[in-house]
Amino acid sequence: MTAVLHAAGLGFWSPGHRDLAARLDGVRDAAEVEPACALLPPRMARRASLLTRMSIEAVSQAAAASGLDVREVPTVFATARGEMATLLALLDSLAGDGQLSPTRFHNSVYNAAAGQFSVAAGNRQPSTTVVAGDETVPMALLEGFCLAEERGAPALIVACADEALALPMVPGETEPLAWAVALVREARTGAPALARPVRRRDGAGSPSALANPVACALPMLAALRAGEGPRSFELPGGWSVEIAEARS
Amino acid sequence: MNGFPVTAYALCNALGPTTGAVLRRLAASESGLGPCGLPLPFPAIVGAVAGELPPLPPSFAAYESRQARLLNQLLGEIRGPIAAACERWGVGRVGIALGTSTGGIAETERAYLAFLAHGQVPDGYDFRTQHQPDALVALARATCGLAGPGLTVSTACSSSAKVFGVARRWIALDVCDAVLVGGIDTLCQTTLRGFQSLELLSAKPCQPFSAERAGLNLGEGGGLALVERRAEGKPCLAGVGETSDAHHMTAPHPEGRGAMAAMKEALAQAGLGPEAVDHVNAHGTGTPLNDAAEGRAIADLFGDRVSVASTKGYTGHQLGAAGITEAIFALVAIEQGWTPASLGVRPPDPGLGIRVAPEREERRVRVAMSNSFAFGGSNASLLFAEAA
Repeated sequence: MTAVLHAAGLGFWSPGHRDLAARLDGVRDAAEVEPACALLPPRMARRASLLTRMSIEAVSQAAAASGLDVREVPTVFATARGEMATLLALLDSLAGDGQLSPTRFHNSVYNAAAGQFSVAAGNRQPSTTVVAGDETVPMALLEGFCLAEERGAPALIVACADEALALPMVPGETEPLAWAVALVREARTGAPALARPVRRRDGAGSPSALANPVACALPMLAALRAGEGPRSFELPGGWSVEIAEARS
Repeated sequence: MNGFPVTAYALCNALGPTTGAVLRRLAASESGLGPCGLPLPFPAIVGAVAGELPPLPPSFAAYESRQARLLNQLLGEIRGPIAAACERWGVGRVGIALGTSTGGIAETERAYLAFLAHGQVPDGYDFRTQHQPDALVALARATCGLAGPGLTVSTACSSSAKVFGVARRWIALDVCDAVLVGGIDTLCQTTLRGFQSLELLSAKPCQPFSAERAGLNLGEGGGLALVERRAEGKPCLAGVGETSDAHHMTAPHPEGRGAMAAMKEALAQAGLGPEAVDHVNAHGTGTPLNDAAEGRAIADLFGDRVSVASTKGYTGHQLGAAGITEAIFALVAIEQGWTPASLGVRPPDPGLGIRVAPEREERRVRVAMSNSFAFGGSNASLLFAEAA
């Protein structure tokens, strides 16, 4: 029996879309250029990257929608590329006077969002940051399911985000986008059952090719929001995730 | 003892290019630290991997980078055990979880500076196969034929300790039967200058847990280990504690609260009390704050009974590769019956209340712990136990 958790709340932010409903319904708001990210104190928020702020915004939305306490919920953050804008700023400093900003430096790590979330929320629970190229979404979900199952945790939030591929010498574009799903163990009204991702076929060996590795979850998020099921979603790398039953 | 056996491992770092070379110098209490060869506006001591590493086979030229060469070197040493695991469990049942803090940022530094100067990147530079952390996983899968799940954990300096948590979960929850874990990081301008900006670097060889400690030295290198569902006569991964400090991005909680919670969780998973632990390979970076916080947590949990060593004085702080390196040192303590001298500890800090070993000790080690702590307050504590 594959483990099943219930999607009790969703979060989303991208430029122009303050939440998942706005994105899925195609309601673009040109004024929505910065995530609210109310969890971060103003001083931290001013120094945090867009990737960090939209990741934390998505987690906060998912926590609020599911009634989970941001201080107590274990988290899995995931990103395919990490802190691109901060990296570019550090590279410009290297090319300039060679002096790096200490704040930029510690905010350049892939777990910058996870760390700032933990500090701002006062959250001491297990947390990890998964980086897996095109397979970032299925690997983040797998790690979320496994962490919840191993710890017997009643709930856990998985968040995936990437910001623009800012390096001028790297071809391709990535749309900034963050989403999160709150997964709870106990069945709840209005919370579709989601099964642990399984590998249907070997898709290994190829380096990352997708422009927007974390955006592949959008059809799954749409189905979770609509309460559709049972439905199966193909994810990169031969992975598949199943909404095991319709919203009850 | 329930746990999953660690059936093979490989190391490459400032002590040497192969596991044998690394362990010979560790046993001889010889440091691998030396002056930094990279151009920097300040003096720095580092643990650099000496000499040129062999290039990748031509068919994998797209991955060519220093970190990929390190991975290739490490894979070369344990190709046999990996093939045996694939044979035994099936390629689809062998997963891979690697840790890195920086990925291939060293290549991107060079590419960006060349781009600014000449308007184009050097021949062969590819962000996706050289910078992105998943490139390491793709390279290992392709060269060894692994077809199980694969990911990278990137939680800065706890990355390649937390991969043991992934392995434990995947095997316990029947995602896999074996997991190749490890981690790699290379020296680069960004980390050297970044740690200097945080005033965490020592201009002298680091002195973990010494009264005279004045900061850390960065290092580079990597390690791999194969964790399997079953095997005879091999030391086991018995517990993996993973917690968050919720205190500060770069400073540990002053009382080592998160470190203590991680160590306790590892013990609880193994069903062991602190009295069972014979040796702790500490995170022990040599910064005043880290060693005070970690020392406090170790003293509170173990008192001065347990033998503590930091091996940062041999390899430097390898960031995302520190966890795997020190995990293997803890496994060696169990398998070979000795614990390394904690280089640089003299004179020890009397305020810490822990017993840090200034000399190599011959002793039976049944259970060994290895700690790794990171930016963002990410803590991991690994517990290994001798074969049942």
